[in-house]
Amino acid sequence: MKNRLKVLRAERDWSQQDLAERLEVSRQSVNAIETGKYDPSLPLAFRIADLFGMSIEEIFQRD
Amino acid sequence: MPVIAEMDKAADDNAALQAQARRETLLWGAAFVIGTFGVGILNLFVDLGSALSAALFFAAMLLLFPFVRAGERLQRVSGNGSLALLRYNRRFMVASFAYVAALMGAIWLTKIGSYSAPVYVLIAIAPSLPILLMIWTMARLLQEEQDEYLRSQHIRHALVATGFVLAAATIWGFLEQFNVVPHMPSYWVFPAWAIGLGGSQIWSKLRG
Repeated sequence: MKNRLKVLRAERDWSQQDLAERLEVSRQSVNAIETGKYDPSLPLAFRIADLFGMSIEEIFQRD
Repeated sequence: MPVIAEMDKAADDNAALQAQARRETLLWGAAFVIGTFGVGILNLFVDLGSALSAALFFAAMLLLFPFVRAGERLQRVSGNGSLALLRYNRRFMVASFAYVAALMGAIWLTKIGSYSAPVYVLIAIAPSLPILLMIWTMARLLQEEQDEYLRSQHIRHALVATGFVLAAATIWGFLEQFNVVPHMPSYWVFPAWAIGLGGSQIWSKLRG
């Protein structure tokens, strides 16, 4: 799955650590999601979408 | 994207701090392994006597404190720590010391006297209880870890370790059956599992 997480956090001047703290996950998790090594669960994907005020489909796309 | 590149650089501002924490963890880890294994190997070649040998091993075990502390610091500065991992480290440390104490106690008791069969059963079981505590500690880590990615990693490492133990025990069993290798007591299963766990974690780190 592809995602726009890196771009979205850059637009907000957030580091991986900033985003991790906002999502209450580890920086390692943010890095794994950004690099496509890990696909988040639906609840976490909703949390990410809520944080950016977007729908899940606007952030995550099929390969 | 230069903005993102700059941001990532900023995010890694504490890279030097991370590198230092990594070095300290490796150093204390190496000191702990060399210390504990060193005393064991020394015992094979030099008759230290049980009291001195136990004291030396216990001293080497104390290196576990700075090792765990350095590991926790590395997790903290790299943003990879969690409360569940912190609890896991502390519980595992307690179990490790309890194991050494129970094992030494059991060896000492069997040296100084002879007992009835039920007492021997109790003495023999004593060192396994802290190992059960370690297994419980691992189960609690999976239950308490709130970070889903970290939890998935813990599960993956545990599965790799289980696969390693199953493979190693099967191969060793057949080698033993055909008198190629000596008999290995089954209490080696847990250390072998722990080696598999550590190996999987190192492999994961190396792959990035």
